[in-house]
Amino acid sequence: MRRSVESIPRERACPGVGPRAGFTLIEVLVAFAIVAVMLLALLEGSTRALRSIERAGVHARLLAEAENMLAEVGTLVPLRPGRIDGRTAEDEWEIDIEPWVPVPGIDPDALAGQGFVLYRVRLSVRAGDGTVESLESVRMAAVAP
Amino acid sequence: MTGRRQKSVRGFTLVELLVSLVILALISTALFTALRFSARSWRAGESRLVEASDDDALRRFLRLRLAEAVAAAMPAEGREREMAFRGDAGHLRFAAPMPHALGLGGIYVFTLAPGEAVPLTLDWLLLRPDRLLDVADGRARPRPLFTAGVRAVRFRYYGSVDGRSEPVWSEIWDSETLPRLVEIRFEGEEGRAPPPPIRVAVAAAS
Repeated sequence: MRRSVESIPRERACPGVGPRAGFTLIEVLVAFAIVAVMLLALLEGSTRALRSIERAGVHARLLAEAENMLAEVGTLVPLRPGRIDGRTAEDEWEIDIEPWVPVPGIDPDALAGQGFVLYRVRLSVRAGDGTVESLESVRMAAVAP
Repeated sequence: MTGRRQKSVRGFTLVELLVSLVILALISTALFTALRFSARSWRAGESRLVEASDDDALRRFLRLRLAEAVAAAMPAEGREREMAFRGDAGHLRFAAPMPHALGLGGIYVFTLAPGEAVPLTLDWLLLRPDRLLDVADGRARPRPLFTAGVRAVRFRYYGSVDGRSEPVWSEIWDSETLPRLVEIRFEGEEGRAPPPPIRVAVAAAS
């Protein structure tokens, strides 16, 4: 019996050696693990890209709302100092209007003497997930007689 | 003992082979499904990105043109002249400068109206003292505006029609003055959220 074992060709009896060598289980498992890790990295990257597309959409919506609101300042929203806020269907907004002095040291009353007053309008819209988009602008108004 | 050893080096049994084939099949099915899913979501994300940037360019164009709208008169049939700015719930015509980057500069009369198969089209003609001129810049007019997922477009105007009364929102604007605000609202297609409205303060009106 021992001889018959010896008579089996060496390459079949002992994988990993000789022209007909195969892979050991460990080798195959390691290869699988490497492929799995690479695929996971790929999926992770594409998931991240998709999520940033989603975030870009939220930013675009917030910016559109902020631009709409900035258009309303001076017409639907009176241009006077103060802070107002509110909600749209999805987001919260806040408008902050304060007198603005273009050059530090200039007396705002001197500007008012010219018949106009400048306001800094700061506007921010916040989405439910905490994303914020802010716009800032300067508006001019005539001094109330 | 030696008999078992001999058996162990003979190769795989049918059961072993079947089990390994089943495992391989399961793994490749899972892999294929995952890859197909990720490819599909990637494509969806890509088309959304293209849609969003088209949408953004369009909104920016409309916003800037409307903000720069001027109270110009244009030659009209039957009448001597008429105000270029005129609109109702579905149509809007206004005069505004065209940026040099988009062709021959100057004041153009823009017309926004629903098209045959699209919710919105844009037409533009150069405003001359005696007529409206097609500048034939090689672009097809009227041009369909890409508003993905939009079924209809509605316009609304805020201002005082006679210049003295309290400003109000109105669906029709036919006045010698410009409205202070113009709103473009989008009605979404079935099951799709419409893009946010565009509200523009007409600079020359305030």
